[in-house]
Amino acid sequence: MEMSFESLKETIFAQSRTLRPGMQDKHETSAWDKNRLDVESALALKNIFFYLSLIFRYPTEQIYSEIAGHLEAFTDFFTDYGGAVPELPPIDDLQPEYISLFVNNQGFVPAAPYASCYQGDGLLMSDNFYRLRQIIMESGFMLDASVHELEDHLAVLLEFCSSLLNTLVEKNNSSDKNLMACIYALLEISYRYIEPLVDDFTDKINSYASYDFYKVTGKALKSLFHDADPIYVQLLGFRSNSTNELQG
Amino acid sequence: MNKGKKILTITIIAFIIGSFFSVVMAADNFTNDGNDRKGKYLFRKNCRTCHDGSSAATMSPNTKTQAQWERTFKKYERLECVEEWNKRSQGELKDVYTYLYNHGYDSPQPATCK
Amino acid sequence: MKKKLMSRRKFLGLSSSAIAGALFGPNLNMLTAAPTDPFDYSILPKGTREYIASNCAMCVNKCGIIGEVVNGKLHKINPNPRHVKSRGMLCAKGNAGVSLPYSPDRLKTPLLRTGKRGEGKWKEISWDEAFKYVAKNLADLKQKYENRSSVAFASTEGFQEEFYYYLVNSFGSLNTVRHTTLCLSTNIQGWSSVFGSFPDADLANAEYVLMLGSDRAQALITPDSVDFQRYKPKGQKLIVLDPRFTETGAKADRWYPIKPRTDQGFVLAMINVIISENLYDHKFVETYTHGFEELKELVAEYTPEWAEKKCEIAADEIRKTAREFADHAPRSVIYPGRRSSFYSHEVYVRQTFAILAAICGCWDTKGAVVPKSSIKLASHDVMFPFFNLTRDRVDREAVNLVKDVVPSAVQCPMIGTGLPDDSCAFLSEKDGSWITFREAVLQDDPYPVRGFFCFKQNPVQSVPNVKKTMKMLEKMEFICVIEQQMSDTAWYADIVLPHSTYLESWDPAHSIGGIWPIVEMRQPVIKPLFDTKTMFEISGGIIHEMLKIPSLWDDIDPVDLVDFKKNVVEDILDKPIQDYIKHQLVNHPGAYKQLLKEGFYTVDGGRPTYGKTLKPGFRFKSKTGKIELFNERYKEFGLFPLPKYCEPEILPDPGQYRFLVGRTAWNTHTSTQNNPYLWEIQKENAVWLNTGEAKKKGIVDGEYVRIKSKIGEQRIKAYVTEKIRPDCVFYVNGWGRKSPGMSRAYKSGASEAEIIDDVLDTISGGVCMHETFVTIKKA
Repeated sequence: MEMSFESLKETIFAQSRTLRPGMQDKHETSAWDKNRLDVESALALKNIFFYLSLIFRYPTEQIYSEIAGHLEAFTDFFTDYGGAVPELPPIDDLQPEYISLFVNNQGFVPAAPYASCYQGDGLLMSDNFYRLRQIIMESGFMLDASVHELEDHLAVLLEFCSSLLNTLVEKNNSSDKNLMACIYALLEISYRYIEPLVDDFTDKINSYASYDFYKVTGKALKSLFHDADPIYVQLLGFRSNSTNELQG
Repeated sequence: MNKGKKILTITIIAFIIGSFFSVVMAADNFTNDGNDRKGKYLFRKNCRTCHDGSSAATMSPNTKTQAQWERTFKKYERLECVEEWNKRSQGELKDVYTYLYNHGYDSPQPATCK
Repeated sequence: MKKKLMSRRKFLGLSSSAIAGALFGPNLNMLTAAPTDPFDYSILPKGTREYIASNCAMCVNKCGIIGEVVNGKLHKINPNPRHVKSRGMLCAKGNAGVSLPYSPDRLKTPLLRTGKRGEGKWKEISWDEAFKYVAKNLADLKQKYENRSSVAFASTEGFQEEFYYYLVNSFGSLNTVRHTTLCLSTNIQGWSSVFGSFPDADLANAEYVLMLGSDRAQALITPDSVDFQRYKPKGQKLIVLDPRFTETGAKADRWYPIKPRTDQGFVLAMINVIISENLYDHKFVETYTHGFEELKELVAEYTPEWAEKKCEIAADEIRKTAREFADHAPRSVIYPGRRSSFYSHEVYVRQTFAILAAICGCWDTKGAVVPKSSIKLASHDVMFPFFNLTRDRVDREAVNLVKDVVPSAVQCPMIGTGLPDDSCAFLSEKDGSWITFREAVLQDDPYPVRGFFCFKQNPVQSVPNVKKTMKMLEKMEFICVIEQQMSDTAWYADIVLPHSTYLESWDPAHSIGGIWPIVEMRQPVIKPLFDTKTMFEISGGIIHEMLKIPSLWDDIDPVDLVDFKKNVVEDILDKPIQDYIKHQLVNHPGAYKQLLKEGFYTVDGGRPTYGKTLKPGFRFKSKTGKIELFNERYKEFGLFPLPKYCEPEILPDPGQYRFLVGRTAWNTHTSTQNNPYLWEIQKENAVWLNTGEAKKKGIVDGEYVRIKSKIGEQRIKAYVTEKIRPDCVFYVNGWGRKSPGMSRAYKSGASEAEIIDDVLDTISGGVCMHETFVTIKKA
């Protein structure tokens, strides 16, 4: 019997589930047929994740020019999810804006871009952090040595999701069970790490931002993850108990 | 009240031990109004090279009391290393004296030579 | 609903322009391929649990800790049960240290100011850029003012501070300013005027302990805070004098609510009783002390009846205390304590304490006041160049400006305060005097100081009279702050360099003197979370950039530069810090291993040694070589050679209260209020106000009041209590912060720096934090 998206999602949060889904449960390994992947949608979402990852990084000149250069391509996305196309301030304004929101403000950081800060006691590297490190490693990735960041930085998480989608699209020769592990990782990152962050995170941005740029992009991030269920159902081709009509 | 850069008055008794030293001796009325910082530098550069326990006894400002430093400088011609002393100008010796005296064992700020 | 979702997700369709976004530039990935095949589960790290020894840095005590690290994360900090100084204790602050590396608020990368100062506009820069920027500014300031002392360097104690001094000495400024004059400089000066050094108290073996103004149950000092509670039940007698009924007072056999600023009178009367009743230690006095006859003559007038009028404590109680003290001698302690930045005559107060110990022979013997012992480490005999363009300390060259920061009575020689009115008599060369230093900078007297470095200090909060500190910062053309968090001071910097926490860094070995001398060292308990560095690395980085700028080395002997590059840069700063530590320990075989294992090292099992200053031939660090009851140097400097009673110079106006400040056991000055765990204990401070006074003003407990001094005004909750005398009020420091970002401490309660007047003790250069008067009214 093929499992529904809902039951799949439930297993993500099940206490008993071990870290290595594909290895553990024979039943799960046959739960998904890669031919059902909506490749075009996966590519689009991959790019959106990556673009959002760029947005939530410190805007160095290189990053800034990438953001500026590709904004056009994401007009539809931001209009739909952010309610507007974000207006990009000059780099000399965006850099201090980024620092004061996400890095260091007077004695504190208003919108810490770390998943851990929205769990437990609000500190870095909370209980789920080690698990995240393991998921990233399991999936064949690690932080580049030049990056002095934590794995649960929003930009890293989004890039990771983007990479997982890429794996799903490209690894046609991989076994089903590896792809299933990929899906588990994608869903776990989305639902356990990113989704719990988005509401508070965007509220904080709205309270402290001087420009609209991060307000709009934050809103798009938030709406996208509120909309994650139907997106993943359509993209991964799962049967859904409640959102059948959305597949149309 | 003046904090007081104390001027020591030392009566000079010019012992003439040898004709070579007599010239030098005439000016050795050392007072502690030299350059303390320069004195530290000179002491470390010229004296500590031996007086670090390697070829001579370890020596720091707090090795001696102020009165002992006074006596040492008054009669330095008796010291084994007098030739090293004679290579330095009177002004330089005064700087060294100022440093050692100001940081002697019983001074307000005894110092090791660090 | 359906339609909306459909339209929203149109980017997922074939025509989506988002697909075209695939052409991102190269080298943008933060993640890289792991060095093994994906999904090869066998290579995953197994869960790990390690125990790593180090020492705490949440306050000054450096207690032994063992970090429990689970899967690379510091899970818990445990006390080290074998640690000889902290006695297996770890306080709330030490426990809460576990959150320090994991605070999202911490500084993560070097930041360069881009907007106006204090506006909060920053950009990230690399460490290389930061080092270049700092070096260039140093060079510019040196060129412009032709005086290396035009750049000042502030810091506070800590293991990495010695590397800060590598930077200071490589630049050649003499203007360093440390925390000492905000804390215990009067204590050090007063005790040293008698014994030539500042001792510890052997509370583990004392039979009788007299504490004046020290709240050891709250302001923790190890091992004292542990010992006085541990040994008290064994029959030790504890007498506490404090205008407040403190936690320490609650543990005492007797608590005397002494009138503020009269402690000296109480102790003088004790000395009077002990001498007049012939209770002193004749042999000790004769063998070791100088000036007993002069002392005897001085104290003749200070009878308990005289003191009763000053201290508002019954003469009989004073007499009783004096007799008990003498009875238990030499196992009697008059407790030196630590912070003594109280009153303008505080040095004489501490001199009086020391004299009481001396005449009873309570010195350098079991259960008495004991000079610190220390374990000698090998030093790096570092030779810095001699820079010609360096002027003397600004607070030493500046004469006559201190009149602006001493009580007016001091300036009137007729009153005979025994205090200098033109400069600090015994300014410590390295510590300087914060108040005098700031005054000199503000007045450009004797020369301009326009560069300011600050390491681990937060003068905006910790130095009294914050308005003056802000003015001082405004004068600066360059401010560099090296910190762990965006402190109030860092916020006004031009460049902020993030320092690793004590749990992430290698810190050099440090010899901690005391009755139980130890050596400590830190190794990283966890890997650094962010792009932070230690002072060792920061100094190295800046000095390397300085070496690329010829103008920074044009006022020295070129030979010195060659030596400096070899001996300081190549041989020390370019080598791993472990090499530095191993050299420090070269005379102690096995010490390095022991430090890695236990975090501390002792000689002789850490047992105390008593009596080394009582051996024949020992010379005390005084003019006479003896314990000076009559201080010959003070006489020479025109100070009181004997502890003549000093009447208060500043008196309250009617309706005013004397303001007292202190600490709690769960916060360290201004540095920990934002800690989430400690904040659970206390969320704001409150002003202690005597019940009777509150009633007169109609103020009820828990109500907000306004407290006002001539410096400023603060809003704070009232704590109406019988536990404080009616003539004074009190609150703990560190609250009412300027930074909205200190989210937990921001505008919670009141700041002391906004209230306390900058009054100077002109013997040691210390500040006097209890010489401020305030009024209180309903908010």
